[in-house]
This record gives sequence, structure tokens and C-alpha cells, in this order.
Amino acid sequence: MRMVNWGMFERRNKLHGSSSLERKINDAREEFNREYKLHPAYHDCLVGNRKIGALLYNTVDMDIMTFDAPFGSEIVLGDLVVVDGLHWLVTEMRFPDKITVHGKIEQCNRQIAWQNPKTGEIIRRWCTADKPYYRNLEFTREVTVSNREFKIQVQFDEETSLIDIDKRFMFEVIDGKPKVYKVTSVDVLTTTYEELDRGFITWNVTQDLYDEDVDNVELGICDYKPSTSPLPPPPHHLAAQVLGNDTMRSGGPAAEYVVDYDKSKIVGTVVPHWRVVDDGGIDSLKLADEGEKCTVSVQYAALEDAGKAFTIEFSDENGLVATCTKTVRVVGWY
Amino acid sequence: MVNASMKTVSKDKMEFIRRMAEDEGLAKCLLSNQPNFLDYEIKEGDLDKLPWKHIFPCKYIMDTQEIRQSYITMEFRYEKSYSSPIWRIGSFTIYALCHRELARTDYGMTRTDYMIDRIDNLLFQSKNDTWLGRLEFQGSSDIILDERGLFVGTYVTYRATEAHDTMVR
Repeated sequence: MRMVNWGMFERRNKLHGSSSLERKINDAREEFNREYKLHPAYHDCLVGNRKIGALLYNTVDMDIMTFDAPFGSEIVLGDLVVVDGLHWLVTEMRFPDKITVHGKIEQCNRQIAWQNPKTGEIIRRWCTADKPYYRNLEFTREVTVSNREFKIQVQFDEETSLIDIDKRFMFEVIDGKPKVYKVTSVDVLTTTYEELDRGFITWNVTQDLYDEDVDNVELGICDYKPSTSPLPPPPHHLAAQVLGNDTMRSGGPAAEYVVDYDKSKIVGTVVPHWRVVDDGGIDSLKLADEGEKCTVSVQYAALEDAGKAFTIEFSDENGLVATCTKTVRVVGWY
Repeated sequence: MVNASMKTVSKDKMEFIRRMAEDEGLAKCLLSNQPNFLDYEIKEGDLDKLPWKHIFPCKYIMDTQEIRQSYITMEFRYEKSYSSPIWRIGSFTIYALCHRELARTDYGMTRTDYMIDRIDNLLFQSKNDTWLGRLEFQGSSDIILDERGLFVGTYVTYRATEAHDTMVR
């Protein structure tokens, strides 16, 4: 009499999820992840330091594209996406459909520069520039000034959120003559989301007048103030290493990795951050950042993942502990 | 062929520019955007920058403004004598203007007030020479010169009384 291996049967049944819905979603994700890199619209993109793959679709506007990225891709509204060396701003995001991440990106025209009002540090950000309405010269007055206006979109962050009305920017230099613009409207309200703490900012700028006494053409910065305080000394990094197994099983339980450093030598607060720096082509690789440790899993017991290797990285956002990495090789389940 | 009257009038206008450019305080005020503009040291070639760049013999600044600067412009009204076909400047208005960010100075007066003060001093000095003769103050006011209010100024109007008593009003 043949004995049924019910344990094996149950495990095979639950291979792609514990419910019908979960299996459908997982199957669809797997199919997308398997096929999208073969699509002609596939592009490697860089979001911050993260590399993601996405399908980029043209729209009727030459400088606007929509994208589909695998579910779980770390890309949010206001992110700057680098595609083939060009910078694009994420200006719309659809609520995730559990299979893909969908949104809209607009091509950035130029990089603008200014100084942080407190530290004097020079800040540079990519932005899109659009012309919302055209109102230029008025010749019936004693003095004619240019009234060119543009709509500027820039990512929302701790630096751009400090920009207020009357801030001046140098956007262009035509034949040696700098063109200066002043912020006449700031819209943080409609394009940022408090719950996400992300988004982008829209400024309306109107042409202003260049002042050679305060504007720096070489740096492209208006109201430039040379820094009087010396630069802070480079931080001393405390050596660290990632502890954990060098191999893990595809489809097996999540593996735990811990950062190890001499805590007695730390003065200040370490802000740990874990990330995958090279996924080795393993689409189902998952990393959960849990502070001093992280857990990593390869979701499916797929034979093609066996033998591949991925690299995880620990870093301290306060710069007290040195960044360290660990490369882990995936082995088969059987 | 240029009308003889216009030749005289044009000479008078150029004389305005010459006298203003040669006034050290006025030149410093026009050349420097700093609130302590009197500390500015005039360099060789600086005074050549004043005619048609900072001082205009007409009411309007010629170019579209993209630089914060200070200016002097002028508006003239002409009058004709009963006894001769010659007409000359009967009254004129001087406009002193600057970008509004430059209006504040370290000298307890606005930049345009300083300019008007220097101009009034220049014209007062001219009452004893053969240029314009005695002048009568007719009025002065603050003005905003462009639709966005970027340039602010003060104007002052004078009437030439001495040489023109016989002219048609």
C-alpha cells in the first residue's frame, strides 16, 4: 500500500501562498518579474542609491513617461529617477495594485543651486521647468522689466522645504548675461502627503533682476554669501562587520544578519540602515530592516536561483560606524 | 538737416548728462549698489559707463531691465519765443530711480532722495552761469515706475524762468 506524503502535499499546495488570492497575486508577480526584463520598454533605473528595473512607456508629451515597476520597488512620489543618465521626477503615483508599482515621471530640465540659509552649504537639485502662462514685456512704462514666469517642480526634502517666497535663483546665463528669477508662489500643500512625508514642491518664479554685488555667476547662486565657518572634520568611522551565514536556502526560512562593532566606543547615536546593494538577479529577494539586525529571505524555492549571490550592506546614517557589506550565496532546497 | 532749435535743446540735454556724470557723489550712487555707496572708489572708465547706461536724456530707459541698478532719466517741455523762431527748454522733470532693494542706504535717506538732493544742488549752482539760468521748483513726488513695482523713484520738476520770460507759455 502506497503511503501519501501529506506533509509534502501540503507544502507543495502552499508553495505560492496560503490562499487562492495570495497564490494568484504571487503567480502574477512572478510572471511580471519573469517577463518584464524581456520587454522592449525595460530600463534600468537608479532611485537614490537603489537600482530598480522598470517598464517606461511614452505618452503624448515627449517629456513625460509612465512606468510599471515590480511590486515592492522602493519608489515614491517626489523621487528622482535616473534613466540612461537623465533625471526624471516622479510626479504621480497610483495606489499599488499588489502586482506592480505604477506612476508618472517628468523629465528634469536643469539643476538649480542655492545656499542653505543657516549653514551656507551649497545645495543643488534637479527640477522641471514649465511655462504656465506667458506675460512678458510691458513697454508703456518708463522702465521695462521682463515678466517671464515659470512653474518649477522639485522634490520635497529638508532643503527644498526651506525655500519661501522671494527666494532668488539663477536659472540661465545667456551670452554672459545671468537671468535671475524670484519665487512668487510656493505650493507644498497639493503635491506632498503628510502620511507619506514625501512628494514634490511647486514654485512659481517670475524674472527678477541680477545684482552683481550679491549674485555669483560662476556658482550660479543668487544672494551668495561666502562661507566663513570651516568645514566640519570628517567623521571617524568605527570598524564594523556583518555577522551571519555565508549561504542561505532558496525558499527556506529567513536568515538573520547582525552588525557587530564595539559599542563602548560609540559617542552619539547610531542610526542603522540595511539595504541590498546587489540582488544578483534574484527577483524574490526580500530584506527586512530591523535596526541592528536584518532578515533576508529568498521567497521561492526556484532552481534557477541556486548558485546566485547577493550582497547586503549595513550603514550608519549618522556616520559613526563604517559601512560594511556581506555577500551571501543561495543554495538549492533539495 | 537738424533744426537749429533742436541743436540747442540737444546740447542742453548733453550738458545735463555731463554735469551729472562729473558729480562724484551722484556717480558713486549710480555705480554702486551698496548701501554705503560713498565708499565706492571710482575707477578709470567708470564715468564712461554713466551716459546711456545710468543717465538717459529722455524719459525712458532704453533696454529691458535685467540688472538691479540706479538711473536718472529726464523729460523736457519746450517753449518758443514771440520774437524769434528759436525754442528752448521751458521746463523739465528729472526722474531718479532705483531697484526697490537698493533704496535703503547708510546715510539716513533713500537712494533716490540722495540723487535728487545732488541734482538739486547741481541745478542750483547753474543759476549764475549761462546754461539754464534761474530755475523755479514746480513740484516733486515719489513714483513707482513699472507695473510690478520693482523700480521706485522720485521726480522733481523745474521751470526755467530767467531766459524765457519773453517766451510763449
